[in-house]
Amino acid sequence: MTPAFRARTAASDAAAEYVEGAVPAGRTPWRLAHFCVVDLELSGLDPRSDEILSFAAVPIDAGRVIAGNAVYGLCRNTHPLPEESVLVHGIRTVDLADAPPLDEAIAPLVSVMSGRVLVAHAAWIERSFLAPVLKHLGLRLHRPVIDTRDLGELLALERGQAAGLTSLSDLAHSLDLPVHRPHHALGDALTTAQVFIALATHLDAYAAQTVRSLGQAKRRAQSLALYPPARRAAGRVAGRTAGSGREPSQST
Amino acid sequence: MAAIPDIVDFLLQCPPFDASDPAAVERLAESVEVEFHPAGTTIFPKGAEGIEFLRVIRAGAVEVVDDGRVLDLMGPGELFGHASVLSGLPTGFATRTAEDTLTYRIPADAASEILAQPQGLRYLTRSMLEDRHHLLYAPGSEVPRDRLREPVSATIRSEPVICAPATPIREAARRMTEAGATALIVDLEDSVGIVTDSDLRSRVVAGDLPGEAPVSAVMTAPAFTIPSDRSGNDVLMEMLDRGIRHFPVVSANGRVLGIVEDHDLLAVERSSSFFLRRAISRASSGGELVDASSKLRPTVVAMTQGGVPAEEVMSVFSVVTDALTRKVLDLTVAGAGEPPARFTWLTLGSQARREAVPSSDLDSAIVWFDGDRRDETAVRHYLGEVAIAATNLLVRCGFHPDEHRVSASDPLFVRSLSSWQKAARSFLDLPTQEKALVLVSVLVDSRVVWGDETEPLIAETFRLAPARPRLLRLLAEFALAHRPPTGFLRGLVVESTGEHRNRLDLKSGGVVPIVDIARWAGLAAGVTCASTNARLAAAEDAGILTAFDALALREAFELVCQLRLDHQVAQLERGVPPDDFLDPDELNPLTRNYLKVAFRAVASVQRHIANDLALIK
Repeated sequence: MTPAFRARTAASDAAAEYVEGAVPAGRTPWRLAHFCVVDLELSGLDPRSDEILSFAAVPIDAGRVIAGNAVYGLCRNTHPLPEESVLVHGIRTVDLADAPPLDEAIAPLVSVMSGRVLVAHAAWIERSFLAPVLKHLGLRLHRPVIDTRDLGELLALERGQAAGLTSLSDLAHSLDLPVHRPHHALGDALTTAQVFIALATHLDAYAAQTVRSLGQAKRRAQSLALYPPARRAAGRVAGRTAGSGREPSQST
Repeated sequence: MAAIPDIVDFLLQCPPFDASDPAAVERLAESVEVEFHPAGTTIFPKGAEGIEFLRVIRAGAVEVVDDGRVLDLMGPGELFGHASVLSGLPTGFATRTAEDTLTYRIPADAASEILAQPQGLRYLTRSMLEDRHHLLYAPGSEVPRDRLREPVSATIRSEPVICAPATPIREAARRMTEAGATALIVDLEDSVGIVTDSDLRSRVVAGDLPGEAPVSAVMTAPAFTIPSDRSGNDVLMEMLDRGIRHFPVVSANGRVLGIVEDHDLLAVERSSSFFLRRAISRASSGGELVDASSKLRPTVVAMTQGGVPAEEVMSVFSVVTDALTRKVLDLTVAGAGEPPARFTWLTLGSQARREAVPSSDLDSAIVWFDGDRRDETAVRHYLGEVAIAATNLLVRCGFHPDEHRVSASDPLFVRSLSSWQKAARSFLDLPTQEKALVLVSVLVDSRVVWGDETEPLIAETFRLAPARPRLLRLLAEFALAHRPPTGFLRGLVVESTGEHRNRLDLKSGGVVPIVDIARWAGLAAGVTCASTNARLAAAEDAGILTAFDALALREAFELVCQLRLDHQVAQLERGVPPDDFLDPDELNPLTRNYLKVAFRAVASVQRHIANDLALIK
């Protein structure tokens, strides 16, 4: 077997696993659901022209981060790397010279994502870069994708605080959680995973959280923001009713 | 499958993993699961069976609770649950998160490779660790606060476990379990050694030693012992000061009566000061020290709000500040290289009397030893650099040098021993020279916090004071210069102008007059550096002050200190820098009245002293 063939086999095995993996139903309480926290390091933010350079994923089961099952990998770039991106994450062309191409490299990520709800910080990035990769393998990105940035904003609103912490490290600090190696996919994935279990636990104290409610955090935050703080208790109930009758929030 | 490097790196810093094979720790890290527990979560209750996981705190804090009583507070890097994991016994206490907490959960199987290394360890751990606490206290019992004022012998609960140095660790552990003891005494004939559960945790559990090794291999010897007549509070301060949690208590004839442990003396609100003390001693860089010291003021707030009397809060604050200063000097000297001459770092003023409050300046001086003549310029240069670096680090830790520049970073306060002694003797003999009285007051209130404590102390020079009537007389007059406010504007005299208009200055009007009288009276009784209360007691014993006046000053001091601390704690809570300026309207009418009475009592003592001086003129 040639290495290329083995890689293809791994990718197709992972794809088959992904197809078979049943994604948790929306009503599943969050502690019973399986999640996968993903972080990507990229050559830039435009999914049409930029590339995935490294990825990490950390699974979460029963509300715990299963650190030993984390995956991390590098992907060989096809275009020269912009200098700005090297300054952010420190990944150079020479570091990627021996890395497999994206379609092969991504197999362990696809495998760990199987049967799990995707979680990321500022998730539009992971969503917009992973959807085409999966499509190329004949797969579809499962919904919902949970965004810890939205969960952070929602918790701030529930607590009657100003929402506005958008960076992962600020959010981790505000929760008294450690920040691991920033701009390293594995460090950021671990930080995001810890932020996720903390936010889900805190939000669970306001209302029982399910896969669906976590996936709709942005919508819930938008409706909460409509109510002045003095009427927060009343607003919480009304917001839920109003929110469920509305159009789905625009995707980011 | 692979371990996440961030998790491996963290575990490698925590005992016992820091002493384990890194490859084994990496294997262990593969089975780590990260959990989040919000504050107030019980991780496991007391008496829980079938504990299958041990946990390492990654962030936050976990309380060890026995029937509602908090026995210990564990912070990042600390391990719990391992004793039940290894022994299979029910947990001896509950664990509850004191803050939002992130833990690494590690399954028993994965941990056993590291934790169960020497044969028989399963048994050892069972005897040493978690199930000890419930043996200490009857359910629901509270340690009475008065315990701190009683002789420490009253807190001893059981006969000590004493063994010979050759006793195998396994045997010693068995005897400790049977006696429900947390530490044992090793009889060394002319001195004693001590072995605590933490010695065993760090040495034996880490796999350095088998159960057959003699206890002498893990003991600390000679152990620092405490005479049985010392008060609980003294012992608590000594524990904080030395960072030791167990002391053998010995009778006058040298017999070991038992072991006193911090838990026997600590009320819940004081345990945080031990936590802080530990964070300071573990700090290995200026940044870590700055982090640790940021907890000092919150600790003062918690203790004060928990009802701990001001006198004890000030002692704890001062002892922890000493520990911090020592660490600052350790780090600074390590950075500056080998000193060209031995030196000691003195703390001055309220900190030396152990009466510092959050607003207090941290005053300091340096004494270097010129016994064997050295290149004085090089010594001065080195000490000048050290003083500036240490002062800068102390400032980063939230301590400010005296605004009147009584500080080791001022060359005037960096002198050789002979120069200091010469100055002190000249003040004794010629007290009328300029600034003599101020400098005597500064030097009498001085204590070595870092360096060789066996060298003669500057303050001790002033033991000669009782034989210098002229100096004493001048000091007495000096002490009468600060008058307490006894007028009647809005019931109390307040500042009439400036930034603090209409405020009462608790320091210059309340604290300083009492401290100055006590310093003079103490010196007249032959006491040099001591707390205000100790000086007043000595002066009363020596007949310098009447029992009535001494009592009046003690009570006034207690009230003023308490008001001052309450005021500063309220300011810290509001995020305002602490000061001594109190708005009399903030006081309830009863307290205001007490304060007026206290000020009048101090003024009356001052009149008695002035009359006595007039008589002997």
